[in-house]
Amino acid sequence: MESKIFNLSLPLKITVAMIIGFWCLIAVFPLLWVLIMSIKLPVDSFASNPLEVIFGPSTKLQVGGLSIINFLIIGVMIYVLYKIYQLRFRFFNIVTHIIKFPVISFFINLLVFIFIVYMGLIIIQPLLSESLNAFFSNIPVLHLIAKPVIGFTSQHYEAVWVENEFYKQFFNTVIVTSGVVIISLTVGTLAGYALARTNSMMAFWLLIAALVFRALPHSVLVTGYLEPFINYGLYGKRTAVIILLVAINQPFTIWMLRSFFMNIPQDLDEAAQIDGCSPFQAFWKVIVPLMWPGVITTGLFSFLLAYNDYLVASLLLDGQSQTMVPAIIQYFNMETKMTDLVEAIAAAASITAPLFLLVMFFQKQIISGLTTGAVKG
Amino acid sequence: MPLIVFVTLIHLMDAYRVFDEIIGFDAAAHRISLQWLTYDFLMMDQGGNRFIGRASATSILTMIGIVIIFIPVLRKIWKDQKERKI
Repeated sequence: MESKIFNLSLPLKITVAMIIGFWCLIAVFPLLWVLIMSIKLPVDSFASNPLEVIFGPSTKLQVGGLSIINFLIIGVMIYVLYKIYQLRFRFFNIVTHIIKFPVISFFINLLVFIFIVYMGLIIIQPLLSESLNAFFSNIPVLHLIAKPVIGFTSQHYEAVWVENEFYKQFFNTVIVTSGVVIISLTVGTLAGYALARTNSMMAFWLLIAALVFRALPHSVLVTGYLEPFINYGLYGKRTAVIILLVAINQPFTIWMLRSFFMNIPQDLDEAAQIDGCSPFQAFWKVIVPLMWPGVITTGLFSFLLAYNDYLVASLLLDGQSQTMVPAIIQYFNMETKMTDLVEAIAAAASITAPLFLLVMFFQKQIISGLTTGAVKG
Repeated sequence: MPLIVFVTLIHLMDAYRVFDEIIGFDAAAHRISLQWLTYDFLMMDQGGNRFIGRASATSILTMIGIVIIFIPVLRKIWKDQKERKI
């Protein structure tokens, strides 16, 4: 049943459609365009005719492309993967029966899914479509559907990930982000809980100080830390970046988690303590399980901060220990020929994939976290 | 103070310390922000020097600006806290 409120008048509908269309144009379209450019040879990527960028005639001639069969198989693959993705809770329950830690089984779940996606889209799909293309191209009429429609080459991705060893930067990012998320969540939940349950004036001033620190530009903190880091040999190490990003992020984490804890009534901890819990047990066994949406949302925000950070990593790390975002900017700066630029585009396109996966897996918690909290970055 | 003013102030602060956009679009020739200036002093120049003193000076200037923008927000929080006490 549809409510009357949602029966919009025609002009309003048109306005809404226009706003959504405009948003798609400025937000989604560039992302898609980057994706299209990254699978073409430089000649096509930088062609002045947009149709040539989309269909890639020279790429089709020199390397080959995707035929209708390819698209069909990719579509089927995505459907199958979506079905597997819907089974994730059942699989999670099975793993949790064997390993008793939900966090570990969650990560096993995530890794298995990544492995299945990799197998399906990168290994099985090309083999299958190649054999089908070869089969259909010999049949008189049906050979049309085996003809490449859109030029496609994965050579830039291969160049970025294999030749330029982009996976090293990827591992650096993994280490830095997981370090930042783990430390800031541990400190943040404890501090947020304490600050939510106290009425003292000192807690208030601590929160004000945290708010001021949240407002400080990141470069101010780097200026203060740089000299000691150079003197004590932390410069160029990932630990230095983790320390700084935690320092930048912690005030925000504490504020956000505090507002989540404020929503949980104090009677709950009292009830738990009457039933014989120590204060810490009451926190760990009663309050934290209620807090998962808040913890995950906050964790996601700190993840994004660490993942997207450019300033700190580019000042404190160099070369082999660099994280992904500064490395990509370096790609853009060192450009000497067209191929370098397309490789930079391919690298930029490939750093968005982990974000998609993460949001897909946490979507439920993110939405409930976003709607229940009070402070939103 | 209504919420919209609060949110506006937060966004104002974020805009004040704009940085990534200047790097991303190589816009340093046209517009620079204080944060970018600090970053530039902190990066090694061709002689391998870092101007940490100058960077500190620009950091302090940035902080003063932040505090000035921040005063209304602090006042709102202070008032809320007082009301809660009573």
